[in-house]
Amino acid sequence: MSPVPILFDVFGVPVYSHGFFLLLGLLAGLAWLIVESRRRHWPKEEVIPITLAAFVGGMIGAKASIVFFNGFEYAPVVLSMAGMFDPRVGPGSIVGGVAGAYMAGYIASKAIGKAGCACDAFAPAMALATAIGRVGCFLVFEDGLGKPTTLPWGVPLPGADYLVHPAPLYDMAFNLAWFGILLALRDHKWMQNGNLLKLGIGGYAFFRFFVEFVRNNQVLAFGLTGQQVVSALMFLAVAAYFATKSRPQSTFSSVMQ
Amino acid sequence: MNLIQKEYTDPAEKRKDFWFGVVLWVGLNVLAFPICSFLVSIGLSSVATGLDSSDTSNTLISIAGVALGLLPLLINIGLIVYFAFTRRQVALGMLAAFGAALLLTLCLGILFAVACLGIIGAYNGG
Repeated sequence: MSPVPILFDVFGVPVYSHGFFLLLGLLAGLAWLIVESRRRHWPKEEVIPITLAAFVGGMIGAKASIVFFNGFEYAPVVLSMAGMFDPRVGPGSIVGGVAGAYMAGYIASKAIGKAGCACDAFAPAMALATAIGRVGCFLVFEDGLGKPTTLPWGVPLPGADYLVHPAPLYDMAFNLAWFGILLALRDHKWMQNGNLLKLGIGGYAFFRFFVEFVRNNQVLAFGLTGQQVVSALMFLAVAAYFATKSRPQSTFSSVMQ
Repeated sequence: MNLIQKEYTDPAEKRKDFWFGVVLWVGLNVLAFPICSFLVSIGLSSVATGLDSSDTSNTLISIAGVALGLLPLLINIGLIVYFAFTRRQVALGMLAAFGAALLLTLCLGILFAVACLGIIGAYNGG
């Protein structure tokens, strides 16, 4: 099996797999967000600024987090405006992107003076976008896919006499399943006013902590990668939030009335 | 610091502030910052030639370069957050311009091979 960096040609112009699935994932996530926002009667005066802030914050967070995850030598590329708008530079880390998007969305929501949180519409959209985006990571064999394995679904790497974990496919499979679970929970009375988004982030952080053990990311400390440290912190923050909440939030139907 | 949010009463006023935000973002990032960073890089290289080639000097120059490179990003974020709490439509205009430029970058990304992190590290001597 070989990487597929070029997906297809259009009049001789190559269309690259990584960028194609990244863009497709974001557009699918945006489309789902629009559908969900309409279903929740979330006014456009709130959807537009919060979504824009989350998008910009997510893109900045994804790139900036690389300095923490991979080292200071990446700073000139990922912490500059030029690097931000260079299409040849990878988008960065999903974990950093989620953290950046959440912070920026929170600031935007405070700035528009929103009392509650209608941000639950983001939760399934994020899972769907990640699932699609991971197809591109798999096709280009990003970061060497994963650690060596003898499991039957291991993937051969060109030039290597061993199989490796198809880690992006694990991520894709989890996010597809998580998308379904979040959809099933979206009208639950406990999953309103921002709780569904927190669950979505916490669930992904929990999964990501464990999948990092079969990925090739750089170990930061105590045998853990930077992504694992941030995922653990995110999961603990969400767990602490749910542990301290004793009563369910108002139901979606009562919010709508 | 007590920030006071401007109340918009007129749609024309909202539009004016929105487009002011767009123009401000484009002006800063397309004109001002590239000129400043060009001048700063000339300044840094003249400083670097005046110093010995020790590891300490090189490290200091590289940290100064990263800090100056980071400044435009911090100014962008700072201005957007400031305007979000004072003149919301200006912040929205800046965000719209920033978001559109990022989306354009992502669209262009389908036409380029994206460099993986290892390649970027090697490119920068890492």
